[in-house]
Amino acid sequence: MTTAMTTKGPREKAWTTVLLLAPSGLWFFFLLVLPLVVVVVFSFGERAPAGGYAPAFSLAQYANLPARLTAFRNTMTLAPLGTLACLLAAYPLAYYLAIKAPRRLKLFLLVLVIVPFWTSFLIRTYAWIFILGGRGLPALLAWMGWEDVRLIYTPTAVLIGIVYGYLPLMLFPIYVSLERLDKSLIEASNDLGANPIRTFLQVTLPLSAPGVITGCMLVFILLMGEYLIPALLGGGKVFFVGNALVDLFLQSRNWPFGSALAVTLVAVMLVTVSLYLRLTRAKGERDVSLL
Amino acid sequence: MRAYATLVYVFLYAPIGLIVLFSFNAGRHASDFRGFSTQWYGTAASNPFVMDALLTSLTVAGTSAVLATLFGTSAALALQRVRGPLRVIFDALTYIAIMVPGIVIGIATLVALVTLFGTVNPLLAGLWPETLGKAPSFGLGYASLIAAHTLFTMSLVIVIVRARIQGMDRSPIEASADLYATPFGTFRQVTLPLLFPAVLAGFLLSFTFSFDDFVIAFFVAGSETTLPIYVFSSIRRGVTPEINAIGSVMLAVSLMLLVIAQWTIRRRAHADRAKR
Amino acid sequence: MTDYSDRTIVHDYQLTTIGNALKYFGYSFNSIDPGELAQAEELLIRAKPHIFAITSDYQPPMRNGDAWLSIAWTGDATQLHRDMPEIIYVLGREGGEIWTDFYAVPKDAPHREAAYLFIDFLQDPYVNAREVQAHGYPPTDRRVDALMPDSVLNDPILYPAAELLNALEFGAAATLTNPLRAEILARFKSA
Repeated sequence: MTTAMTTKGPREKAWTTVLLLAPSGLWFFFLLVLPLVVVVVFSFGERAPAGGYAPAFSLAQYANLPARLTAFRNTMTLAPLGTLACLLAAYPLAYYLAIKAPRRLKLFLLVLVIVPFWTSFLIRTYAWIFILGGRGLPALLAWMGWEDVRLIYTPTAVLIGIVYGYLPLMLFPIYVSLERLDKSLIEASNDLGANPIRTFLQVTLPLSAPGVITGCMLVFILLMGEYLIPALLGGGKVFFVGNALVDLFLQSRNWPFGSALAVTLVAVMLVTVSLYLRLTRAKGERDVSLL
Repeated sequence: MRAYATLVYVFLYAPIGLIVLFSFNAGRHASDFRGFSTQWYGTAASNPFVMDALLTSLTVAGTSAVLATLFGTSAALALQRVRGPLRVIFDALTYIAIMVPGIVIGIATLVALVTLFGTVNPLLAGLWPETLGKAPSFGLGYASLIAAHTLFTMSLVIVIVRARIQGMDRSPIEASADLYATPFGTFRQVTLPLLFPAVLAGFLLSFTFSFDDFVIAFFVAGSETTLPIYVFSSIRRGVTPEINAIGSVMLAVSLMLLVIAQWTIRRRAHADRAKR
Repeated sequence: MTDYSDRTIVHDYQLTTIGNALKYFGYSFNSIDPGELAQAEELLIRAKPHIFAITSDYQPPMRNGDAWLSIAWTGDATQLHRDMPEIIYVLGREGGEIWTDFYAVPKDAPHREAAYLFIDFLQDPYVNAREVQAHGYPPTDRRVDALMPDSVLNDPILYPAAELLNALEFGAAATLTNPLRAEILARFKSA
């Protein structure tokens, strides 16, 4: 590791850093820290008689959390399952796009993945309700001999909806990781006699790890707060933390309890994420300045 | 492998095919097909509210994607050199921004902004010199929409670009510096091209998230309407195939732009090759 | 088509779902009495295996034929019946909810006069009549009734028989904001 020769002294470097971090720093302060303060303050308050927030300082909301234990349990089953399903669906496509697809088509195929998401979410979901409903896929399956297949408003439907909705989020980081993979490494591995599976497990997969971890983390985190897909495709019969939050804020208008639930959820997510980050940091980081 | 890829694209576009099909629905509800008609395209085009909502969505998504990419990439680059508590804080904030569920950040941002404006606006009105006319007053609308969306999407960009940086081979950068390139030159000609896939991925995801977002927009949009807000609020009135028509037009335009972009890139590649 | 098991939809909305369960026992739609609510909750949880979905957006599954029975608001009923005449709308004999929408102008709205003018415009009988025929909810203005064609006036969905309306109740503010009812709905959805 050599240090790069630059014409910048340490003070100039510090200024560059400040300049580069300032916009995001400002954004974080006004649009994340301030709202978060609001949430934390709410979580110690009480529900006003007609709903909303009444100033107070009490731990009652946190004490009430076990009332939503089922929601937490359901979410803790859905989030890892959904993440895994997404990973299994996205990785082969990322591999194809990064390594096997003709170079001139890569950008095209990549953007093609995301174009469907420039239509309205509600209409896409209606389309899925049709496909998974009695007149869609089950009708096709019945014609082929499989009678009475029930797809809509099942956990399967929710899983399909999740894989569909989260595919780009999982795909893009993995693609970005795989794309910089040096093909000659794969060729070398094959030349040295490794079969394709070994090459994959010992060369490709480890090198795509940052992307895989990023994608899984993003999907997992967002899945934990998900409520629309289970509500619309799962028939609303399974209750997740996301549903609990929406109901608390919009139906029972119990903002303090909702805030306490949100704070707890974020805390749980932070713990999970820092575990993930330990995993990546253990690989060591090379610190040559990029500027 | 190519077969699997094709399968995925079929999976992605099957519902889309249905959406386009149903845009030619003679029936009145978006999910119920009753014969062919092109009436909904006419309805959509002559509906000023839906057009306004579409324009708002495009503007907000475009602006916040640009801001998110700029701020996020800068932050990702700068964070490489930062250690200690500042780094930990930034890391934590980045992930928290992604973690906080939409409904929570939506309501919390609404309350925070309204409180902020509630204190700033009277102050401003009090201090504003008479000669300059009426004092500006902050409110919810385009700015708050863009701001709230940028927070989330910027964090996405940071995470994606940093993952790319982490796995990146430093030797071209070192080589460039050793060959006496200025830091900015190295950045422009070596680092940025290497980062480009991540930056582009971040931009595309940012645009998509913002364009498709309902929950956060619902709370911070003030009196503006985005397309998702328009669509979701039509559930009570009955979701008509007008929405399918709009979705299909968006699809057609995006695919057309994509094909044109692809064709332009290929022509330039051919021209470059011919020059050598 | 008389077995509605796994073909029934209830709303993701405590007011109507719990309210209707209460009506089954003859209690008030707006009851916030813990004992009565406990019975309603027990009924709901017993019914849950037979419920197809808990959602307030019931038109897609009804139109697909996946669901055959749903709690419905009048306007949706009008739209569904118009497109699928085999779907009928009934008011429960034990009763249910009657409600109205209303217009509200925020206290600090910058253009209140414009808002009032707009409301006046919407309340103009000719304008209101056209709105009613589009969205399918009955008006509360006799002047509008006078402008409606007979087919609409005789529509049992929009203008049910007067005696059927007696058992209906307006939802109360206390009901809507009652935390116990919200908790019951959460428990029902988790069950």
